[in-house]
Amino acid sequence: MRNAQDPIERWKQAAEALELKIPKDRIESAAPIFDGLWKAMRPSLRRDLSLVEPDFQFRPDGR
Amino acid sequence: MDLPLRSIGELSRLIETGEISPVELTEQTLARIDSLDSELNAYITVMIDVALEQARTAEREIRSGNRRGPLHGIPYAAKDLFFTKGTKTTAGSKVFADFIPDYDATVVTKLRDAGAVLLGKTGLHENAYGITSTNPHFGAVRNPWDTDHIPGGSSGGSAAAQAAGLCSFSLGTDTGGSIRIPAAFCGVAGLKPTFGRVSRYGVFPLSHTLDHVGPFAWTAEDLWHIFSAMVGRDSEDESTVERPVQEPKFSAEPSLQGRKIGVPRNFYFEGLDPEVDTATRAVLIELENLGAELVEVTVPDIEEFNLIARLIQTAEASSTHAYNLEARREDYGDDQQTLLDQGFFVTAVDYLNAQKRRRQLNREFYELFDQVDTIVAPAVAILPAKIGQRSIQVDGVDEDVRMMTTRNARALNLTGLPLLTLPCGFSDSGLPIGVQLVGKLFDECTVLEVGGAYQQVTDWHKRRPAMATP
Repeated sequence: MRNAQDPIERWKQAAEALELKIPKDRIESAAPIFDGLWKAMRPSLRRDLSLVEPDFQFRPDGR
Repeated sequence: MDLPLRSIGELSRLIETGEISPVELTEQTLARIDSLDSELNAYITVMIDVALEQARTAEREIRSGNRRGPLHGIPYAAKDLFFTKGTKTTAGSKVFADFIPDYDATVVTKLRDAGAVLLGKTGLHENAYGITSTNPHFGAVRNPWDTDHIPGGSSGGSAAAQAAGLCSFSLGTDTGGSIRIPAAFCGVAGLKPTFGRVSRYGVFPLSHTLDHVGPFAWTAEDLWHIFSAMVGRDSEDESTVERPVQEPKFSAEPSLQGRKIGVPRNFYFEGLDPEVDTATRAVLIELENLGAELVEVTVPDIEEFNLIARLIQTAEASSTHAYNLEARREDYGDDQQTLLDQGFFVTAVDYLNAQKRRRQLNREFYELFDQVDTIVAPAVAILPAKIGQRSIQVDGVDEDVRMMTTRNARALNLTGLPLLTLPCGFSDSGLPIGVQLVGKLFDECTVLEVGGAYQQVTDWHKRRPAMATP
């Protein structure tokens, strides 16, 4: 049985917890790709963004 | 050269002087679609009756002295995700295969007001989510320069139709390169205007903070004619803005004296197919010969831009398709399921913080324009892959075709900056290569002027695929 460090198993568990209706075989296709993106995103998103104005409607120049 | 293979500029002059009529041009284009599109599969729907009716109306109006402008009587095609009242609009999807809108997209209305003639709806990657235009429901769109190869995507049908003379201009959308990639792969010109310039009302969304509408044509000047007919605030699309539009000057004897052209010293010229590298560097020499000053610039971390763009697109696209994916999963292609499933795992916090990080990164990119007027880079790092090809060798390493094809394009959708793609050469095997010019926010004028000057001294845009000139 796969352990929780296995990306497929991790995202299968997440899908189950979130009650996502994604077939297990489809998670096996998507999970490795998404896991790579998720991990690559951590350095970018683990930073202080608390004072950055949110864009609720994207305006390239912020107006 | 057959009329449908000529530029809007030429055709418009011929129509204005009465040497050709809109009906004649439309009939010739429809005949070409009939004889060539079985090989290309560029169209999903050809609107013969609508096109001929619009052409007859244009002819009547022009003859009675009511010519509306350069697009009057010019036949065009729209990617099959632009809503057309009474005509099916599939988004390349089985889910929407029978969807018939009861209103027109704002840009379709604006082009009709400009007198353009709508020929039909072009093929695309399913849901505009992908770069091959190999569609499991409507078949693969083929590249007119070599039909074993992809035309790029997602607006592959629009670019292929343009290259083969199956329309005189066409419309596409660009979320992660979907105008620039097919323009480069099909050897035509494409413009992704600044975010907010052109309405997306009545356009199937993929990723609402990244989607842009823009045209394909042969020349920068032709793109200007189309862009200027479509631009402007639309009360139906709250992302649009009313900003002044500066008209570019196109000269037969161009000079780029005083213009500063940014040449990225990092990222954009790395990991390229050698033929793409050579062709793009030749563009820089031409621009320098025209009087421009080349200025090396260091672009912000484009790898991070690309990751942020992927995360935002993944979440937004899954939001768009959440209901139908659950209800009709079997109607989605394999790659769509893999892409769309991922979006459900993006947390709200990550999505919102990615949008905040986007704002920070964009500011870094915008500051480059304190140094230069435009930035020049290869539109796509590789040549068009073969249909069905999934990996490609770059520097002896197997790389994913999708990732390599979007590598130079995706990040720029985050910025919303205007982007012009022009043909700039061919590989030894005869496949087109494209260059992209990046402009300041709302400064389409500069990229079109620089692009127009480049096209005055080169002839890449005058070449046509062999299959289109039998």
